[in-house]
Amino acid sequence: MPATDELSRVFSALADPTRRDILTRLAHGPISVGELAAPYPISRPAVSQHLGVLESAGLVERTVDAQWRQCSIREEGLDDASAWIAERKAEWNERFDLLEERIREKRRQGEAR
Amino acid sequence: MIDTTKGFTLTREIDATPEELWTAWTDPDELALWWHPRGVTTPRASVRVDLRVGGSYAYTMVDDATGDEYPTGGVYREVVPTERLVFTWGNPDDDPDDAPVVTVTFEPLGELTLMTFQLRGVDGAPGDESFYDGWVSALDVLAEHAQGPHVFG
Repeated sequence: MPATDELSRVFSALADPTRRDILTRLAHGPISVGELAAPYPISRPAVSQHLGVLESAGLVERTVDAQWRQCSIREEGLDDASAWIAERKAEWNERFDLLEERIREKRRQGEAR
Repeated sequence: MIDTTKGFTLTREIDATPEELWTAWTDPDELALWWHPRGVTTPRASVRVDLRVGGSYAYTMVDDATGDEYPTGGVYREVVPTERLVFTWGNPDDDPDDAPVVTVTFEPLGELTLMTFQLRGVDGAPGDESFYDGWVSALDVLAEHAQGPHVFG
């Protein structure tokens, strides 16, 4: 049940509204770092820092395209996090199947008495 | 805006009364029988329940095939018999404030009971760097990405 270190990095990278906003914007397609930084009331270096966190969590990729630094989302970076949630869901659904079986069994025992 | 306040919710209509379900969720004898996925066993001796607000619980799941042990535990946050149970769910040695929170409610529906299970990140304002904050945003971003076509593309 404890998350792996890689997952921790993903979840903590997502635990910031600016970084989530960056990801949401990148989901529409790659844009330059300058374009990405424009709407935020924080300095370019601060935006770069957020990008660094997202990059080390494997959620975005920075590439140098001619003189422009481009940013794009790494879709597979979220796959592990989604898979983790899907596994937890599946586990709890199995528990609930067992719970229902147990209650049926108890009722049968009650009737037999 | 992205909703970061909840993890995921499962609902199920169960042929049982809220009282039967409450017993299943809170009686250690009963918990040992179902509180684990298939292929895993919870030894009765490992289950400890102190059912009161601030009280803790713990149990250890054992993998039937490998014998690997998975200790799990947490602290009860809300205890409203037959209606609502809220508890943290994680590693028993971890700080419960850093653990995900489970909320289970039971609502009578005639012969059946609607059981609603919610697993979400730690309480706190969205964006406060809490570990599980952003579960749903991850999925939202993925879904959005999968939808395309791209506005800026």
